[in-house]
Parts: sequence; structure tokens; C-alpha cells
Amino acid sequence: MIPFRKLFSTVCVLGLSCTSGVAQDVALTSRDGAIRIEGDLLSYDGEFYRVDTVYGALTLDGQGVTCAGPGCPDLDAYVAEVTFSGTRRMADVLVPALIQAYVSRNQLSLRREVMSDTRSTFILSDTDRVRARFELRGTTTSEGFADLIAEEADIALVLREPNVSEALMADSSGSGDLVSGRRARVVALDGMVAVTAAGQQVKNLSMEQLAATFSGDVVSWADIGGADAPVVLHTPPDTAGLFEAFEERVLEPYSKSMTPDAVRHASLEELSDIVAEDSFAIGLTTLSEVGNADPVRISGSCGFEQAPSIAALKTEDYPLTLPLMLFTPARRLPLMAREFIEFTASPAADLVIRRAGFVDQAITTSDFHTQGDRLAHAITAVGPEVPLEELKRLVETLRDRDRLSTTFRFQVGTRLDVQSSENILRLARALETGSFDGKSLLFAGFSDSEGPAAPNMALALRRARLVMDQVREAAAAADFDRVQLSVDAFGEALPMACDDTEWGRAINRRVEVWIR
Amino acid sequence: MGKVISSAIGAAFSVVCFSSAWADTVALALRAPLPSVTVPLPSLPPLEPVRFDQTAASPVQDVRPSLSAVIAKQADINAFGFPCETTLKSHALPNAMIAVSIFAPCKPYQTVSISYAGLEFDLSLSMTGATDTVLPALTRVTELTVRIGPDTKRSTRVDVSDIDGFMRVALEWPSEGPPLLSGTAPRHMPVDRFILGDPSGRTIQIVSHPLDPETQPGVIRLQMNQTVTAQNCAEAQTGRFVQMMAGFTQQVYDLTLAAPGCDKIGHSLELKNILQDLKLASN
Repeated sequence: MIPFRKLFSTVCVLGLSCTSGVAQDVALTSRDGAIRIEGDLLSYDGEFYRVDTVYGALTLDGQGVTCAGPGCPDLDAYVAEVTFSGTRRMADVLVPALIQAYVSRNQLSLRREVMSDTRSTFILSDTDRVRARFELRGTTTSEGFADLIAEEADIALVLREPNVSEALMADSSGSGDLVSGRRARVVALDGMVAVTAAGQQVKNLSMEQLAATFSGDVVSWADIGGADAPVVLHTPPDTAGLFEAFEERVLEPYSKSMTPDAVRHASLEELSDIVAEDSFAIGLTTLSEVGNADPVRISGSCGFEQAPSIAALKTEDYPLTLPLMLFTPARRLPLMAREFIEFTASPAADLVIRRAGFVDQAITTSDFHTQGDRLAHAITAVGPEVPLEELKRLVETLRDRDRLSTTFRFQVGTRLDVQSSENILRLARALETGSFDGKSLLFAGFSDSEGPAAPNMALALRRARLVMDQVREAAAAADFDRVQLSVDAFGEALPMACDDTEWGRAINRRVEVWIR
Repeated sequence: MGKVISSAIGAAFSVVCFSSAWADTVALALRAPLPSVTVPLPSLPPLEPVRFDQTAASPVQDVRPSLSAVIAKQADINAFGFPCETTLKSHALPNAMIAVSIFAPCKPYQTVSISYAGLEFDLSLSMTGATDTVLPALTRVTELTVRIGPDTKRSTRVDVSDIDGFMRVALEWPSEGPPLLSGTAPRHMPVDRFILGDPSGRTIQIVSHPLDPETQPGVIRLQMNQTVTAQNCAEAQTGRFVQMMAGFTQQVYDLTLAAPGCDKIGHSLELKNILQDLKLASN
């Protein structure tokens, strides 16, 4: 926001007329009457005026000015209007459930006006009057970004960050910078899963088999370890964010693309229901929409297998996590919209998220004894790169600690992925509220097994230190006399997935947090 | 001998009517001789003298209803002779159901509104002013209120102890032709559907599923189908939706369906996404 007085002095010094002769929508005058600005009112959010003036769009604090003119809002009758647009993965169930919880938490009452199956308006009222109208449009991630850029939506519901063309479009349309700043808020997690009917004997597939199946290379179940029967594919439409994410993360690494022969379903519910009834069908859906079908586990050549469970999604140990994000524009949102976004990161919202079938990001712990499978793999991996002594050190260091669900993973080098960036804030908030007072937090860095062990160890330690520093920086209000933070690294000693694929290596490059 | 006696008695009776002296003579002639033994008289306990406590004596109350009350009461009975008093009786039934009996003898054919758990539906009373119904409970302690016209209101409370074994959703609709609420589930998940109320008035549709610990995880798809009619095409209508899990209300909100437009009369609107599906996770 531009400070009113400063802005005014700037434009007046430039010799521009501070009032215009053309009849304008509103005239905002400072309390002392010294400064006056005119323009068309773009919005009033209950606190701030956004006015289109000859100097461009300006945001002015409502407390500092009085408004005159036909465009002035009725200050006592202000209703926050907020439009949500984007992926149906969020618009169908998650956002309505969160709005309902927000309403009951704030002692408001709710009416949902249904225009169609994918378009509703939620009317939030207190005992006096209507306070806000939240319009919800279930479309796709791309359309959510398009609506945000065109200023037809205030909050986009998305499964990914904006791509280059979207960022450029936002820039050229003047709707603001989509890339810098913290625009994406991960509200919940979901996972991309392949589903089959309960009776299908193939229960796990490698990433390569998954790619071959959905690209149409696999025509018979016999090709992937099943009966000799044709594979019937079901997918969401190609405009869906889930479709795009699956192509990018599963098909592209194997230079494949989705077969055009798959049956497309706009509704994932319908897709799951059809797959659940057909023993030879396989479908692409999300964990929250598995319905009555069975999710397929993802296996690696070295014997690791990852089921898309809540715990595995939270720790990102399952390779195909799908963060569900609220993406906000580079302009100020009404107070109630900001409060709603804040609410989505609260413990009360975590419960709602779980109930709605999604994975929340609340920090949970699992003790050392539950790591048996990983330790077994670690033992089999002992060799010149990982000597037995190193494994013993790992066990000695971690055996009396618990692992936090908060895990940090890197896109490339030391850049954290979006879910991990959210985890930094979550952990920082927990530190600030004293949840870990009297505890010791160990940031343990791990690497993949590509290349020699010593540089891997150094890189693992560097990543652990980087994460610890970022958490420390984000937790400005935390009392670090009460909680002890430290780093350690174990390199390639405790793999989570097979290192023979890129996704497996990405799973292994991580920083875990162990608490005592 | 017998003949002599009977004629003597006949003669004696006829004489009694005329002379007591004659009667004494005849009676003596008929009396059997007394035994000669004397039997002592039983001794009775002495009688307690009865005292009346003047101070405790209360004034005599007339327990008979006054004439005006009798007339009023007679006026307050229905054509079948039942007093007009409206009664509401209810009790819990197995499977978290509630039996409700309403008897308003002087209000035959009238509409009764039954409200519970924040929802309401309408029923018509019979010719005798009675109606019985069974409701699926939506709260553990159910406050039930019935209203007949503006003046008559009765309330009762039922404790439904087995409600934690059910998940239910309910849709109240204010008018004829509500969107039809349905739940489709895989074979291993039994789903019951109830419709409360007369079709011409306010109704509640309920989809119920038992939470059996043995039940496998699964999803019950909820959807609404509305047939566009001349009654509902032009105006938006608002109902109320409640979701209950094991006795706890998880969602409650008003639901307005926009007017579909009268050019769509005869069409059916399918709303699959509006209501959150019931998900039963594995434990």
C-alpha cells in the first residue's frame, strides 16, 4: 500500500494536478482536508479503498480519509465479496468444508446458494446482517490462474504454482506479480494415485510401469504381472491440474504422454466408482477421491514400496504428493478473506481437512521403532559407501528420538519444494507457540547415493543447516533458550526409496527432524 | 301333617292382616321348643370412646365439579367423545429411531409441524385427530416439539442411547417437490432412506448408515436430483442440510437452489458435488 500523504506529495511535486476536472466516481479527502484525490472506486474491502486514478490504481487507508461522491460505499453495510476459482479437487469438498468450519468457529450462520454443481455462493451472516459472500467456482487449476489474472477471482484454487506463460500474462495484464512473494499457501495435501477394483491382483506398479500403462504401451494386464485381459484406462480430462501434474511427474521422465484412448471423466467420483466396478480398469485419481476403488502402491526395483497413506503423504515419502494451494494475488484481499486464509492453517482447520478426506499438515511424531522397514533396507545397503560404523552412529543418535512428520525436500540443489516451504512456517509457528519447549530438535540431512559418499555427506549437512537456519529465521518470536536446535547428517545411510530412478533419488534427498 | 301346617300358615297369614293377637298365637304354635342348656354370652372388649378433634376438622369440601365446569368439559370433547386435550408421546426405538404419537382429538385433519434437531416437517392429523410416526434420531438427546396452529404446542425429550452407531444426513425442504436426496453405496454398506412428512408440505429426507465396527471402509455418494416443475422453476428455494456422525452434528447450513428457469420445466437437475459424501475410513 502506498502511504497517502507520501503519494500525494510525490504526485504534487511532479506538477500534476491533484484534482481532475472530469466528474469522478469518488473523491477521497484526508481528515485535515489538505489533500484530495479523485477516481473510480475499484473496491472497498471494509478497511481500504482501491481507486483507479489518473496516476494508476491506488490503495488508501479508509481511516485516513472521508469519501464523497456517488461511488462511495455504505461503510456500515459493507459486505466482503470474495471469489474463489480453480481446481475441483479443492472446490468440490475441501473449500466448502473449510468455509463451514470457519463460519461455525466465528459464530456466523451460513447459507449456500447453489447455482449449479460447480458453482455456489456461501453467504456468511452474523445476527445483524450479511457480512460476506464467498463465491466458489469449480473449474481447473489453469482456469483458476486465468481468473486470478483477469481479476475475476480473488483466490485461485490450484494444484501447482503458475507456469511461465501464466506469470508473463499476469505481468502484461497489470494484475501483478504472480511469482515473487509468498502467494501460494498449501492448505492440505492429496496424492496422485492409480486405482483398480478391489479384485484386481496387481497391487503395486513401478513408476515406469505406471508411465507405460497410462501412455497406452501396456495393453494387457499380463504385461504388468496380472491376468491376460485388456487394460481399460480412465483419466480426468486433459485440462485438469491432476492430468497436467501426472504428465509432468510420471510420464515426461520416461518421455511418454497420456494415451488419447483413455476414458475421460470430468468427475473423479464417477471415475472411482466405475473403476471400482470393473476388474480390468485402472484409473488416475487422487487419494481423497479413491472412493470404493483400491489404490495401487508404487514399488521400486530394490524392493521399496510406498503406499499412498496419510503418513507417507505428510512426510512426502510417497513420491506423488499433490499440494492443494490457495493462491492469492498481489493485491489486498478483504479482511474476512484474509482471516479465512489464516484459519485454513489453524489446528481447527486440520481436523476439518482430515474429516473431508484430505491430509492435513499438523505435525505428528512416529517413534524410532516404526522405522524397522527403513532400517532393514539400510542394513542391506551397508558397504564401502556406508560402513557399518556409520549405521551404528545413526542408530545411536536417533534411537531415543521420535521423527516429526515435518520433512523437507528439495526441487533442485537447495531450493525447497512448496510443501516444504509451508513446513518451515508450520515448524516455526510451533516453536513460537512453545510446542517444543524443553525439547531438542535434530535436523538430520540425508542424500541419495549418486556419486561418492563424502560429498553427499557434506551436501546433506549443508541442507540440514539451511533448513535449520530458515526455521530459526521464520520463528522470530521463539525463545531459543527453551528449545535446542542442532544438525547432523547421515548421507545415504537411510534410504526411503530406490536410487535407480530420479523420483527415488528425490525422495532420498531430504532433511528429517528428530525430537527428544 | 305338612298339609295341615301349610294351611295353618296360610290361615295365619290371612289372619295377621286383621289381628295381631291372632298372629301371636299362631307364631307360638309354630315355634320349636328351645334347648334347655344356657350358653354364656361372649365378652366383648370395652369400647373406646370416639372423640372428635374439633381443631383438625377441615371444612367440608364440595368435590363435585361446578356446573359451569361440567358444561365446559362437555363442550371440550370431540365428536367421538374424547376430551380435546392434545397429547404428545414419544419413546426411543432400536436403531436410533424415535416413535412419536400425537393425539389432538379436536383438531382433525389439521396440519401438525414436528420439529427436532433444528429441522421441521409437516403431517396431517387423521379424522380422529391422531397421528403416529417414526423418526430417525439426529441428536443423542432429542427435543421434540409439535405445533398445531398458532396456539397449541407440546414438547418432549427423548434420550437415544444407540445413536453413536449411525451416520446420517438430513435435508429439510419447505415445499412440495423437494430435490430428491439419495445415497449410493457399495453392496457391503447398507443405506436406509426415510422421508418424513406429507409430500404436499414441509418434508425431511434422511439417509442413514449404521457404523458397524465390522463394516469395511467405503464411500456413500450423496446426490440431489431436482425435477423442474411449474412450482419451482421461477423462484429460488431454501432448505436446510444437517450431517450427523455418531450423535455429533458435523455440518448444518441452509441450502438455496437457484431458480432453474421455467424454460427447463420437465428437466432434471443432477447435483452430485454439493453434498459432501459420507466417507468411512478404515480403523
